[in-house]
Amino acid sequence: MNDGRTFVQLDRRRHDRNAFDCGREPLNRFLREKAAKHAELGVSRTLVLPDPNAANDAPAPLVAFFTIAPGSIDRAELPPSRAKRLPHYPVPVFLLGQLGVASAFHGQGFGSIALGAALGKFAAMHAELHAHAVVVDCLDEPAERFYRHQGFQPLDGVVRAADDQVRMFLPMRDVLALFGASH
Amino acid sequence: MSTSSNEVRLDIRMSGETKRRLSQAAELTGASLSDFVRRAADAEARSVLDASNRITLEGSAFDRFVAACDNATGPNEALRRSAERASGYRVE
Repeated sequence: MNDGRTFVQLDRRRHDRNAFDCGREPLNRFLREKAAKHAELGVSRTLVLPDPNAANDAPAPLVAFFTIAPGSIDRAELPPSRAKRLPHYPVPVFLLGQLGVASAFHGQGFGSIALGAALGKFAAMHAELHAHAVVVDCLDEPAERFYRHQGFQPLDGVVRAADDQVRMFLPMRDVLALFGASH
Repeated sequence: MSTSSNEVRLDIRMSGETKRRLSQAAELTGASLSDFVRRAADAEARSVLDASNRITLEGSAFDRFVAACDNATGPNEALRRSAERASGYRVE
């Protein structure tokens, strides 16, 4: 059932990946070529919001999507022996890798809806995986501005990562405060 | 290495040169060729899968990151609005 209010796992047969255009080609390409494959490999999961006005028998156009994965943050060097009570590392985090809204739906708040939905999902997942923070990939300036506006801070000092995208983070405590979950 | 019933076969082709090098390296470590290749390939696979979702920070940046997580100041107004807007939506 498609009520237009449920983010569901990307499904090659039910969702029209090829027609999706959020105005940012790397995101379009990720959805078209990699999202389903990454889900099969267990690397990440992509959740999509199908357009409720779509014809029933055809693959549904998508309003928005985001990609989530468990990840970790590691420390490059051992701390000096006098360092007190640092957590064991790597520390677990939630990754919000990609987030896109179809151009036809821009300006209607779907970016913040998708972000809010993703954070709600992380708050629920936190019961099983105690994460320190949510880390987002910022594809470009506008993405950075969007996340900064939402309270994310730059993740500085990266020495190794899968790619060299700008990343930002939000403490998990803030996410839990939003959704009334306890730590 | 004992074989167990849930093991499967993998046949791969490689150049004679590669196979010679693998054999030499295996001999040097005292492992059988099969054990050597299995271990090396598995280690490489783990590191690729691991690296895809792992971020490494400089020591001081890591410490700042952890401190920022511990001393969170609470969600700002924009984020509260996003959560509110999303409250009418479900995630499967």
